[in-house]
Amino acid sequence: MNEQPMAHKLAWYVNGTLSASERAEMEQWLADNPEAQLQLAEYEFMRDSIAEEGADEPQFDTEAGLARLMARIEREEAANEATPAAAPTRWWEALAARLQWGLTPAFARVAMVSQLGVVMVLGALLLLPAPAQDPAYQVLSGAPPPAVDGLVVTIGLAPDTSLAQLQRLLRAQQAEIVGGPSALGTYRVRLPDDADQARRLAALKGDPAVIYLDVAAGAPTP
Amino acid sequence: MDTASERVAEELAWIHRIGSGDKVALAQLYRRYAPRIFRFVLRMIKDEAMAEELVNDVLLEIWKGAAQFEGRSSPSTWILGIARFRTLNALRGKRLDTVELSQAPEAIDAAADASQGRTQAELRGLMRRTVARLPAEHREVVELAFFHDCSYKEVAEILQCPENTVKTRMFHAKAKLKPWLSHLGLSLSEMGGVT
Repeated sequence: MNEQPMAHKLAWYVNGTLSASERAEMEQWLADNPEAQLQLAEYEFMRDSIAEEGADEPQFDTEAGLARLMARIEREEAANEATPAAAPTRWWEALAARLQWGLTPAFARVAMVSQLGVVMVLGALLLLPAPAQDPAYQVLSGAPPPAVDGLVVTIGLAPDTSLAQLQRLLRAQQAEIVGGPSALGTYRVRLPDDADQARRLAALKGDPAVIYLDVAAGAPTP
Repeated sequence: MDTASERVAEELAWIHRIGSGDKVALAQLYRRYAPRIFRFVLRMIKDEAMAEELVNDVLLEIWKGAAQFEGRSSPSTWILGIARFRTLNALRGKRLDTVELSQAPEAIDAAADASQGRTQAELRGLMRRTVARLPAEHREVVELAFFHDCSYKEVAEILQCPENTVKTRMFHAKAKLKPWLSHLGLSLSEMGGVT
């Protein structure tokens, strides 16, 4: 048993707040350990001394203190009831009161007004119509699919699919990747518009490497 | 009140009622805690009038904040935590009235003849005065453990420090008192060994 952690918990064995398991472990440690038993006696003497109210210590007058507290609460309640009569009626006055504007240091007021100005300018810029151009980024859910010839399907691959397997699969079906991988790991694949399209689609769907296949609306289903 | 858990349940019910504006519950909580808070605060600031004022500051904060109490800690941990925070705020800029034991030779001197003809009550009084001279970080751990019966987890929560720090502070507090305890002539035969 490690001596130090046990010695460091001894005070809490003495005040009776250790858990049952900690207590059992402590008693086992104490049983054949005269040095630890001496430490226990010292802690017990400390507890007995500290727990005792000394005659020389000032005593708290609970009832007098309670009366003072109740009087203070009543004063505050009375002040709060009087406050609505003088409550600000304009929204900016109410806001200033809520923000304790009058108590805010001048430099902080300047900083807050400047920040508000910057936020308003940035907000206005965001509201301006953006110039039409290709987006420089794409949201995780994917960009609108570009118009391409042929049938575009979305496929998901088994996690252990190798690049060589994917290439074989695409070559066999004359398919090509037109998008992906997406955040979910899916690819958009185009199949040529020919008489074998339905067969190619079925072959793709039947391949063990393809665990997910989504055909665009209106496409022939295998 | 029979057990600690019943006591805690009662206090939680009071706090809930205080949150709804029940002044009777506030008075009940006040009667139980005000003397404890007073002693805790007084040991930190050594100013009786200020300690009395702080007791009411703490209870007023409880009156205003009881509705927000979520019960994540025990009532005593919450209340003593507020008391400590309030006291430290009041002490801001004011030097803590503590003297390192090593710089207070009279404490050790007093202990030197402590075992000569003193009663147990006198010895315990001497011990309290000696503990009062410990550095604040050690003294508050000793107070919370032995006067407020806090577990080391609760002490850590109140002091906002890791549990291991609490245990180490207690261990060092006793190490600082060791010469004093040795002067008392504590021995296994006198103390009756493990209880």
